[in-house]
Amino acid sequence: MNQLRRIIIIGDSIEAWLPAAYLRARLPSDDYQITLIETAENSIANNGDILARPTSKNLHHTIETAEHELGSKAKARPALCAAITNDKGATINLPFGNYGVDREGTEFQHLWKFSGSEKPLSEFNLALVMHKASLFIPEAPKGAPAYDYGYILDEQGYKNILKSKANAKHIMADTLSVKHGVHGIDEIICNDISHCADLYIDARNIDYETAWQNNHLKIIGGFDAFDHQSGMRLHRIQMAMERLFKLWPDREFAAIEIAEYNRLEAAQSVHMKDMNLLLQQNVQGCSDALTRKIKLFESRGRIAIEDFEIYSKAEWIAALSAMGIVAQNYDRLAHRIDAIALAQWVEQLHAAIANVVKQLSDRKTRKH
Amino acid sequence: MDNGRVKNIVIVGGGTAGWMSAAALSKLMPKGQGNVTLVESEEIGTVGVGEATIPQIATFNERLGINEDDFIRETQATFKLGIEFVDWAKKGDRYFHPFGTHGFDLEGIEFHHYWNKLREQGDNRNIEDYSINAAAAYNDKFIRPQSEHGPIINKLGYAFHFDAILYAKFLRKFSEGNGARRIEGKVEKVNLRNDNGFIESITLADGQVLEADLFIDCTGFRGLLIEEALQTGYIDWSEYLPVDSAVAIPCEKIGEPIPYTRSTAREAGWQWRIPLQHRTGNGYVYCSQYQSKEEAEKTLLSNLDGKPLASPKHLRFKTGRRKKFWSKNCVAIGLSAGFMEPLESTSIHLIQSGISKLIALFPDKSMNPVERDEYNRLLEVGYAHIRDFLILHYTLTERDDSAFWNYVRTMSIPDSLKRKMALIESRGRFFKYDDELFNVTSWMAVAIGQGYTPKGYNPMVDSLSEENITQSLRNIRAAIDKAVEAMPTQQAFIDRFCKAQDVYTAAGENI
Repeated sequence: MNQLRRIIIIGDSIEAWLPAAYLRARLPSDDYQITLIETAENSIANNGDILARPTSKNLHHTIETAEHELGSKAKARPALCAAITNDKGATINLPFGNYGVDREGTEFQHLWKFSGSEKPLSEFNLALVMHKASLFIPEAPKGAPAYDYGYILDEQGYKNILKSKANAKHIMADTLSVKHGVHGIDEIICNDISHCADLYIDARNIDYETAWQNNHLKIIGGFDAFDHQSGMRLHRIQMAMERLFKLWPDREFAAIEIAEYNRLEAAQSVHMKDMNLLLQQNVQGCSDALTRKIKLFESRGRIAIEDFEIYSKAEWIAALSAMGIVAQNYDRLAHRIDAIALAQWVEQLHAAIANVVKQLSDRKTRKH
Repeated sequence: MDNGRVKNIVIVGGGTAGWMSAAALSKLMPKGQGNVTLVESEEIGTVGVGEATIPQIATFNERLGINEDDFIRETQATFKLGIEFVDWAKKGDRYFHPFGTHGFDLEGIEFHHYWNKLREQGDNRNIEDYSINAAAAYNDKFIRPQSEHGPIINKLGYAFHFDAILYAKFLRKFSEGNGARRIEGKVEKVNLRNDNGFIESITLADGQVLEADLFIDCTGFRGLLIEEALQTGYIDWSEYLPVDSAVAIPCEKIGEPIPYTRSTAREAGWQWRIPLQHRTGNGYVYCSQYQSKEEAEKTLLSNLDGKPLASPKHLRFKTGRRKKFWSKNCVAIGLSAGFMEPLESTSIHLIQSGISKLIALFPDKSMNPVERDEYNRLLEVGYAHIRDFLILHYTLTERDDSAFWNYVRTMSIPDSLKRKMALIESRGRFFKYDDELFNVTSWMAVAIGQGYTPKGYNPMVDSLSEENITQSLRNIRAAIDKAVEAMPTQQAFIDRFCKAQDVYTAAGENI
């Protein structure tokens, strides 16, 4: 049999426990042995809060973790945006919802600009408005700008949930040494005992050029402080696991499949790095893709979407706007709507959003 | 005030590309703020023969607010559930490329992996046994999926076969209803501005001069504006896709139309068969290096279902694309942008894709290079993905019975395709790029259909017991059989909802 059966995951906190929980949910427990060697070496755990982006709902569905469990065990609170504070002290909120409502195939930011509204664009993003007012409802009222939500989780509580789902053999490493051979990792010496596996998932924060080589898959590297705040800390592990699952290997580790994994990983890393440069408000040395994004946005408020994007259009608009990049113009097709009627509609939308917020605030006050 | 706004658009060339562009732009341009003018000459024929489409056309019609049944009636259309490929892998072989999907994904793993596991264990069922499209197509059945139909019928994807000339007429009426102006005339001269080389105007044979801010070149292979005037250049892909000629002819239909296109491999290319309500469209796409015009015509005429209804029409082309689809203030749409043989019915889609991207990146008079470059980048990527998918059909053939097939079987292929094929071969892995047209069902249908079955499957499939997989697949087959059994025939569906007028009294001149 050429199937790989033994998997060792090396790392700390959710970086290690999430792959363990994910694989346990996906693999028949009788056939696969998952061992987790917990080491604080190169850990990025901060034992504070962690942001789970809206896409984590798929992940939680896979590992059979319901919202109420996240609430009771990881103190889950809804998150309508990723709130980032950069080194310059600037706060940038990347919303998990749309700016306004598109009409007749034209995106709202163009309609807003054409309408000449003096209200800031951010006030048309219900997710942002509710975030600012510390309000929440799970779903946007009919006709209001759509959004989704993620969670802010207590890292320790979340780790405990993952641990319970993983049902993995757990070893606390006092000493750890990784022995490499021609075919990747030969063995791991942990607490003076040798451990061998078919696949090693390395969840330590180690910089790498190639994520996957032979039997050694690195899932956390080049960790950026923004990854905590943007929710990428969790999201990138989720993406790594989903990719791995689609390209699940056997012990031959077909080079073509590993190359595909690495290619996809590299493409996604570029988008992550680009966003981090924008958040840092210093885009020197950015990719061609980000250069294109900036130019297109600057010209007419359009967002270029590339292959394997991670961030939504709304998040790019927020980050580009925070960088001070202003769209010089708007999509001409906004002119299809009568200017006076459009201006009225835009104001009505603003009032409707304000009304939603007021009603929620009143309800909150009454509760208190 | 907005002085930079594009107010005047001139589309040169009618036909499908020209009238699709006119329909979209006249509908979407702000009312009273722009003029769409289309120049065409009845003296210049259009390429339009029977056209087959892919499901994305529904989005185009929907966006324009076109009622589907009206469209079907007006264009003598029939429904298309996929393409049957005959004699492609080898003589006597056939397979079906369905719209929709093969089966259902189970536990987050694509269906074909489960099918492949059972196949490895001796189950000889074909993957198309799990396609509702294939089952409906081979039983001449059709129903338009509605939400209340449940998950099986809702997997049915469909497109249309229609008469391209009637479609152009239908869109002309639509466009003119939305304010587009049609001018009968031949372009005699394209006048460029001295300062920036933009097209300033075109002069017609009758001396009329038409100025515009934006010109759309729908002049077909010739590329009157994009190539002859702006000399954009052409990227030749004929080393990968060597067919360069076609001969087309309509014939009488025999019996009820079938709800799929048929592509039959011939000595130096392949023959299409497109069933319409009033007739059948036929054509033979071939490589002139391996077969003469006369031989090709003979091949086509000897393989018709019914009596020919017109004289054969011959076409020449070179597969490839313009170096730039949008150059200065001119956007090439349709055959002037590039040509790819209609093997997977992508011609209309490429027109649609060009129009929708132009609308998404609609310029002002300055023709900002940022938007132009983005348009060109997106189209380049889209064309390359389709090119690779077309090459797949040829490179996977086992045929060695003619010089043509020997060439395509052994020719070199692009690296992008090599990588995709290697991933499919190893374990049926497939990753779809955002702008890629064909999905995993399409790639697997053609690869498996031509004998390029993945050597393995995703080992995660073993998470489900063999018994469980066998039962799940049996249930899918049973559900498909039951759904197809309950469907009306395509003809019954057409008769009830969208029957075209009798051709000999209403549109006899089109034959």
